[in-house]
Amino acid sequence: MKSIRTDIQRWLIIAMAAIALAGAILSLIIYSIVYTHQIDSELELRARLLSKTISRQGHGIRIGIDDSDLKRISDIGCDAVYQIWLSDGSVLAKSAKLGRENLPTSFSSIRPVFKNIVLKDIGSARYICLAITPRIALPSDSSLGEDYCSIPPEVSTAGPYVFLGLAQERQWYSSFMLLCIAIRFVMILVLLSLVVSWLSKCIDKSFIPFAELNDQLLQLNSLDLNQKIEIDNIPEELVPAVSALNKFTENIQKSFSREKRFVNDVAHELRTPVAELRLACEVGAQWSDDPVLVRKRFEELRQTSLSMESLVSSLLALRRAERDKVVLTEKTVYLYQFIDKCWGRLIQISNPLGLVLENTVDDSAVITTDDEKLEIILQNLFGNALSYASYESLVKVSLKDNNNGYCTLTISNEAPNMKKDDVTHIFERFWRGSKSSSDGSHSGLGMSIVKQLAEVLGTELSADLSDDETFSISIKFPPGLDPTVRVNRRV
Amino acid sequence: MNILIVEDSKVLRSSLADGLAKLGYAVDAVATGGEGLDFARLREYDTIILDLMLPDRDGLSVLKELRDSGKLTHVLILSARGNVEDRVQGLQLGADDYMIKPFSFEELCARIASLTRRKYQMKNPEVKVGKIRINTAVREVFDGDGNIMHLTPGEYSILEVLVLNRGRVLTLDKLMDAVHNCDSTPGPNVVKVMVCNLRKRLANAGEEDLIRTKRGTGYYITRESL
Repeated sequence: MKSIRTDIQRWLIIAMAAIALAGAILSLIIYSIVYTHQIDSELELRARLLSKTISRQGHGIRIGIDDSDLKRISDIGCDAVYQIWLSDGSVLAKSAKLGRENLPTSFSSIRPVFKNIVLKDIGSARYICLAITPRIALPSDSSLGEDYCSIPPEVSTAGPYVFLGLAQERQWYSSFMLLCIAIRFVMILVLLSLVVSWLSKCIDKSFIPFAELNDQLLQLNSLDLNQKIEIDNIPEELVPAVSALNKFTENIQKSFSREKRFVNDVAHELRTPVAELRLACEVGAQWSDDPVLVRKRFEELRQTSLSMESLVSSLLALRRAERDKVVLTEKTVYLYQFIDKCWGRLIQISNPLGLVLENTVDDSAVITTDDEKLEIILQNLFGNALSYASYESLVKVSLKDNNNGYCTLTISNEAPNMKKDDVTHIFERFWRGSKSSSDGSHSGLGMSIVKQLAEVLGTELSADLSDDETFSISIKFPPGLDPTVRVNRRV
Repeated sequence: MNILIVEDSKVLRSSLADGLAKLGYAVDAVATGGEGLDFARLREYDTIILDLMLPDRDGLSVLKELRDSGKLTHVLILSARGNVEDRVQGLQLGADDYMIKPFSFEELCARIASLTRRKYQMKNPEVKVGKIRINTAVREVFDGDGNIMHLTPGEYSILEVLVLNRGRVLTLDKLMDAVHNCDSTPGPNVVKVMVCNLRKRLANAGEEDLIRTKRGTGYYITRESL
């Protein structure tokens, strides 16, 4: 399984190894530059010392170099060879060690030329080629053991016309360099190992909150999502994620509770109609020879079936209204005509109390909202009025401009059987007024649907029962609540 | 046997009343707790079937008020509330039995019969009177040969109430109560006709003098008959 900690440690080790390697290479380059410069300086110094042994005498060159001199001028006793040329390339002298081999001719009259070369006897060597103008030989100069070479007439002696090549073994230098690099590399490795070890411990320590968080997560019980993950002891980087998780579980718990309550409510609500169906069937079957009793039972079964059908429809409507994302289809609604239409549809079906609608909404009042949902709201409210209002009373509908951008639509009717306490329960699921519960014609879901849909439309819903037993429901439309509701101010 | 049904569901109330009436019970059925209390105070019922969720008040408060007023009538709670807490609370407030909706009509009848037996301190649902046997659980009467005697519900109710109150003279009013229901209230003459018919059926079964008349008072069955 992929582990963040292992990944971090792995990348840390790779990074440290890369740093160690880069450090070693860098130190190699630096050492190389510094030491080469130092060696070259010493080599040039020796070459210049040797050049002092070359002098001009008449039309010839006197060379006082011997192979033994080379050992003497080398403080570390390295092997060295030399070779001397005239500017025309003719060899004036060279070390016996070179035998038939020649040092490279890298003539430059301006500055000394340095090179790394490989010789048969010496191996790898550092080489300098120096242009010199021999001094005039003094009478005191000894002539013993010195070579004398004449200068051909074509060789110009106006500038430096003799070149001295000196090659010095550099094996020791390479070994020294390698040793230095190795030591450096090992030191860096040891240092980096210590750093990696320390960082690993730091990482382990940093991961302790993760482990604690894991423990807390493992203790979460799917049956009790009320548990919260403590955010006091976790790093602040994790706080947003943990807070989101807490919020998420809280929402799930709320959803579970809502579903559980809903299922309980529904199951409870279904007990009575199921009991009605069962009892009617059992009584009808037991006295099936009594046609009057059987007919009565059939009628009861029909009534109960209709009640259950209404209950199921209401439940589905409520479920649709309670969905998290309800699609709203906005339309321009002329309120006056719309209210009349909703009322007309209802009283066509039944108006047992002989109620009359008093629609005082201005006929130019317009709102932009989802007309289907608004119609469900109005039909439920009018339906309640048709069931509970006083005989032959008025159902009043009015629209008030609150002068603060809000408009309030109020539906009111007389409710002689209603109590003040009922108002607090009116939006609860399956709550019924005293009349509805006894005749079985109401599911107790209508007002819950109204409340849910009102929220969906972005409106505020309130209920009130005045002292003169007038029950009113107010729907407060907010101004320009795009895209849910927009109120046209032509009220 | 008199039964009062206090149930807000119209269909349940009607089916229960019809079914129990068919079995010979005298049934009164009301929809609200207030009406239930009024009926219970006015008449002496053998059993009250009480729903808990009533439109005007909670059934438990009706039960408490009944018990507080000294009524000892057996109460069978019939409710959609099936939690243990609800059942315990109902029984603690003085209910004699508790049934959860939906329920079986047969079981309800058996429980009503059981409550009736408890009222008359009977363990055995079968009562032997002379040559005939009465099974109060299934509300059937058998002759000396073990054949079922086909009595009308009213006749059975009169026989049952006389047997359960054996040794006591029951007035015509009491017998009227036993066969009364909210839809029809038989007068004294109807009850007298029922007693007459019952006597004829009993005579056919070999029990001519089982039901005796206390002139000017009512009818009774002697203890010696058992």
